[in-house]
Amino acid sequence: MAATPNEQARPSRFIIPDLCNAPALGVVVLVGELLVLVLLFASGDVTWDGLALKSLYVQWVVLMSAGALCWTRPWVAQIGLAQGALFAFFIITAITLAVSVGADRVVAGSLDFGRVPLDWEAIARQLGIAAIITGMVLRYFYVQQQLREQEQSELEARIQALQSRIRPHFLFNSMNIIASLIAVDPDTAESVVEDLSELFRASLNDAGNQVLLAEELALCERYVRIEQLRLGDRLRVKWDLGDYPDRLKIPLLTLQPLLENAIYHGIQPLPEGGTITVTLRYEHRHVQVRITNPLPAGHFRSHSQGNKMALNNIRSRLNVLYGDAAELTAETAGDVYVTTLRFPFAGED
Amino acid sequence: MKILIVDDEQLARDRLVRMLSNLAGYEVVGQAGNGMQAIEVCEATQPDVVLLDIRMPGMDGLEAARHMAGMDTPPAVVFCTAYEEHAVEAFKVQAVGYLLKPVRRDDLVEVLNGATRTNKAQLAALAATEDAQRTHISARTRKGIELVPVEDVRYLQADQKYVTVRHAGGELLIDETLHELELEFSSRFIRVHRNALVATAYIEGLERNEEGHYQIRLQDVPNGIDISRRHVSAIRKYIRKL
Repeated sequence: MAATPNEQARPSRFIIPDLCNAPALGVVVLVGELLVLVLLFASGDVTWDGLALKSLYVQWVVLMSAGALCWTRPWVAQIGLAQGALFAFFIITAITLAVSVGADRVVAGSLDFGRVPLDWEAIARQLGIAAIITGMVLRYFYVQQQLREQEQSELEARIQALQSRIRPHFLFNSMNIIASLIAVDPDTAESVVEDLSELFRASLNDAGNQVLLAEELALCERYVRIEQLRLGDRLRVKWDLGDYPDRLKIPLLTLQPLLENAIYHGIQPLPEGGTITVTLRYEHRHVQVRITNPLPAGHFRSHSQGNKMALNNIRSRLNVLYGDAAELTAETAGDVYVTTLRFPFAGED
Repeated sequence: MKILIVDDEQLARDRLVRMLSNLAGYEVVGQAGNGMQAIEVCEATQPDVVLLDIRMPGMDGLEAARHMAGMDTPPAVVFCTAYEEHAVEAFKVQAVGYLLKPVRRDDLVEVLNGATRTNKAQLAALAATEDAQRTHISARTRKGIELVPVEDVRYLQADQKYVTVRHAGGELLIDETLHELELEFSSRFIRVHRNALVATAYIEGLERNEEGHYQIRLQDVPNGIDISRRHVSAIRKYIRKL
């Protein structure tokens, strides 16, 4: 049942935009012509003939490349990002070679390589130019794609966070607790309202916000206090917090949802309840938090979907903040379920 | 009107007790914290209405209601839930009484006055929408409702009218069809004959009796269960995979 961190990797898309439409082709032709002008000015041979010849050559390369990329796009979109870029580079270089050889023959006016040998030096020059420009363009698209994906994942994380952080169950259960307590124990009812408000205030906060670990732990305590009222002595939480720097920061609402998962899937289905252990260690500039909860027999299967969603939500938020340096794993170890969160914190500044 | 309150949360039970004590004509005859307990208390106190929480540890409310429906004088059931989108949809479709928590007094009075017995078909339909398997099989015996954990069942054999449930501690006759049982517990039982399902967890092997018929041997069951000819190859394949 252990979910691996890369499970949520989205299918990579081709970094080159879709060229299979008229406006895109128009831009391609225009960029090709600008390239022609650059080459023309650089060569010093600024004549109409030169313009026409270079345009002919460049447009052949550019339009054939566009055609080839358009044609192979559905296939390339399925292979990896890097492989796709390599493939595009290879295709464009190959087309340049073909057109260069063709142009050489047209200029030579003969197909007989024996009579007029190929001008390898010119072809190599042309290939070099094509390779450099293709490399630059691909690099540009690659950076743009990464930017887009990052924006996308931030947006998704935010939406998911809003959707899944406020579990309707928790809201209504809490309301029921307040309704139950208000007549018999108004003081406790009051404190539930306060705790609930803090939790909701936090959940309405910016998804990417980082807070002091102490603040996140305080939120967790408020949360546990509410659940404790509902579950009574069935819920036991053991906190084992080692030493950590006071300034240690953590993305807001990362621990609370893990604790919520542990309670909903590990404690609630058990008639006799159980113990949740939260272990926090700060070592080698990394924070490691382990949350273990009992694993109810048979129950796990039916509720793993919601569990996975919460984990993926936290994962994508960690990814935005830390990239590959953070990880969140979940696995069964004997009769317990262990969720481990690791993220770097270097800032002693 | 005698009322049984079933909820795993003490606070929620207390609140309903308090609400009902302020209303004339209702008497809370018992409380229970899970489905199994609910069935026991229900038999002991014979309430008119059971206020039944759905989400409970162990046996949940939907299953408890199905077993209660098999009692001699089944109570009317009103389901309580904090938030269960699908369940609420299903209640509306099946015209089953339900309350949303926190329960409002007016709603409580209204639903208690209109509470009617929920029949087995309605409950089975509810369970189907939840895609839930019962944890127990129940039958009405002289001792009252008898519950057998599904994991203790060795085989199910259909007679003319009833299905015999053979389990670790003996036998039980239930009023359900083999086909329904096969659908509900498809992950646990395999069909070996037109009239028999066996628990895959207890299969020990295949053998031939004196007349040359294939039989399946089950753990803790002295006699073999007949396998019909058209199931033999499928069963053999299944056993080989074990």
